[in-house]
Amino acid sequence: MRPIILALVSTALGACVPLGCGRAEADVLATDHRGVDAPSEPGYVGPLQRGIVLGGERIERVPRWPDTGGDPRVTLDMLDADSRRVAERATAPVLVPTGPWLAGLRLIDLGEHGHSLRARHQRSKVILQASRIARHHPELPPRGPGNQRIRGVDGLVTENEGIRSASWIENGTAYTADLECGDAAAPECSGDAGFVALLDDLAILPRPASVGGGR
Amino acid sequence: MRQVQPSTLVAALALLAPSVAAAAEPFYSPPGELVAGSGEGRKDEKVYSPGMRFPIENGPAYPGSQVYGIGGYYGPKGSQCDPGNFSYPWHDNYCEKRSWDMPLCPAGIGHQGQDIRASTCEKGVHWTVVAHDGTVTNIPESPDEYATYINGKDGIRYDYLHGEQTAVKLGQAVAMGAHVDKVSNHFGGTATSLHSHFNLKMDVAGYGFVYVPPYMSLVESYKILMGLGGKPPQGALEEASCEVLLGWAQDPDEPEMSIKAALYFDGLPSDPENVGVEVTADLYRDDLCEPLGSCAHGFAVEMPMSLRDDLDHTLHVFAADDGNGPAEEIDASPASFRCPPPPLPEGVRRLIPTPEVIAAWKLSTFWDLAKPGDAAIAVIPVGEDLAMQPILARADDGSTEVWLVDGEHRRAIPSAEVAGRWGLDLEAAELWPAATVDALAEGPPLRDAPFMVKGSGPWIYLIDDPFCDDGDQSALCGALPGGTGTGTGGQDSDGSSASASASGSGGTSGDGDTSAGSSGGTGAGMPALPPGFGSVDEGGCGCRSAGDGDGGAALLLVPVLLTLRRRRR
Repeated sequence: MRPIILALVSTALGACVPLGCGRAEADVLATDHRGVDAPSEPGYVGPLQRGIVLGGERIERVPRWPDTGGDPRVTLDMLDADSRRVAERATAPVLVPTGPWLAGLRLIDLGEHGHSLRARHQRSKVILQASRIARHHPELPPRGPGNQRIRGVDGLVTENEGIRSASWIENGTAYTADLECGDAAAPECSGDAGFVALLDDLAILPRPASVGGGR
Repeated sequence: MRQVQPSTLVAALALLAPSVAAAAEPFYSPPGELVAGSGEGRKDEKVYSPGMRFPIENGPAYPGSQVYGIGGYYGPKGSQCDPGNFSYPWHDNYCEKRSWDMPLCPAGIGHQGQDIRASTCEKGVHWTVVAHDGTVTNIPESPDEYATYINGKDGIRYDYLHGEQTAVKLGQAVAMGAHVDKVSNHFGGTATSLHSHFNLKMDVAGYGFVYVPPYMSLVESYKILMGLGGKPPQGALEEASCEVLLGWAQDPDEPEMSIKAALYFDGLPSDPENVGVEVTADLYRDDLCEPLGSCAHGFAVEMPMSLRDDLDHTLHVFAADDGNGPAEEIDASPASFRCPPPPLPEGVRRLIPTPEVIAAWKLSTFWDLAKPGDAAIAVIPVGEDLAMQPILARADDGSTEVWLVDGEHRRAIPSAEVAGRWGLDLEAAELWPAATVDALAEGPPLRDAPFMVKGSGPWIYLIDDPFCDDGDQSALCGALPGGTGTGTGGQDSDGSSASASASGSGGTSGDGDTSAGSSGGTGAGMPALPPGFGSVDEGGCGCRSAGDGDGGAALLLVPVLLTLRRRRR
């Protein structure tokens, strides 16, 4: 039954119970009213409301590092000093493109949310972000399956103003990658397959010593 | 893409633009209402970025379609600088017709952001600005590139495309309102029309990263930028106790209309640490009728369980304007409160492994999650992990009972009210062969309402009854009430196995074939799009779910679900 109907019924039956009865321990606010005549007494009796959380409910993801002992193709020594510092305190597994991409790599700390990296190779650029905090919107319908397998999991590849974009969840972490192509003939720029191949080849940096584990 | 010519100075356009402040009608068309013929929009009133700054430095500005605007590839003939493109009302163009997959668009494909024209049709004049404090994670670094990304402290990535004269550097910390770039038409080696393409990209539980609609966030931030509206809304916070957050809100410009009230806990709207809740102040109160001249303006909000943690909290309450103006903080706001944790119910704790599971169950970590402390959680016996998703099933033997399939068990749903508290839609129950339903062990009935707990770590647990099969004499099943068929029950549970029932034919199924691919996936009848805006031929395998499979798909869900659960053990 809608709250307003309940309130009307309650009022009609003379069943109004003054608010304030049976309060739990609490600091109850003393109020005044400015601008208009103050209502004499709060008169609403009925079910309480629950609203929509603006911007979504904040939920922590729980990143996991695979127990593979690291990828021999990448070490922290291959990063510049700033990027290495970010990697050493990363709170989610750091995926990086390998080979010639490492020379143009820059890791950026995003605090509690995770990290972002920019990697360049010739006329292509990848922006890859890892997130360990999701926003929950209960009113959103469940997402259907994606359109690609990315790194062995269900993922989605789409395009935005000429920028190909991918998203997937791996090791408890949400990732997104955006690919900007100056040369459409570059292998990674040759359709979704080339992009997915680049993502499948990403390496995981060694797990920082500061990261604990377990539930 | 059609080559567009940057305009000569058309500064007079700003003067031609109608005055919003004086306008009786909203300056924007509703969200999801796209330009006619440009596709199906998403009717979404949600402000995904509350507190954001409008991304163009100065108004007026004109969000709307480029492709379907005047001079656009599919728009009426004319110049991109036609005054009609620089006038109200705004038009949403998130989900505008494209061939690119977009999970949140009704058609499953569409435009990922919002195109915004500045006040005049001039190249390199109008600054875009930082929408939220954050860090720059991408800038154009060559003539091929035209994208700037700023990751806000709120976790949202704000994208600015097609600009020039970029004023930020990679890795730079930036504050709301700082210059980003100037509105232009850069699109790699070609040109687009003069506009800023603005995206919001965020990590959403159940989705992972996804582009979300920016339109209403733009609307709300524009009201503040332009100081729009007539008389400001008003209201009062009358009580902030552990029982209720009580008050009223009204817009004098529309005194009969029930408006929204936004309650911000532990910070103002622009603070990324706050939690904001929006409710409609539409509760009928006799005591409001005389002073306000209208009665349905009350709000009475439940104290969220997640804030009942024995810590001090602040509360700011804002009343929304009826349409054109910014929200106003109401009288007696802010307030503060401190509430003791709710009593912990008996039961076992079931790990909720990921945000995706929370999303699938439609659980609320704001309303239904308590923080009793690590010690209190540690002594709660551990039960099975929560199933990846709840499934509602009804046997095909004419039974009206709807069961919740929770892993390897079926559970009675005591009433429609209980189903409502769990966000379960009984009408959406799948029709299963009776033998399949009967083959599932009967677990305890669903509890009256969800109750979750979280300690200092990230793990979240649902407090629930244990699954105790017949003859289970384990300490867990012997020590706790609520084994199979008995249930701890709630005020709506009588402890029997009677289930809630659904009317109608039901019989909808799950996701259908998730492996079947199709090329393009753009649908019949979609016209070709201009270069750079996607085409009917591109865009991957298009493996979207059909969403309306037959009953056979439901049968397949059982082994799939059970397999998933076994793998986790």
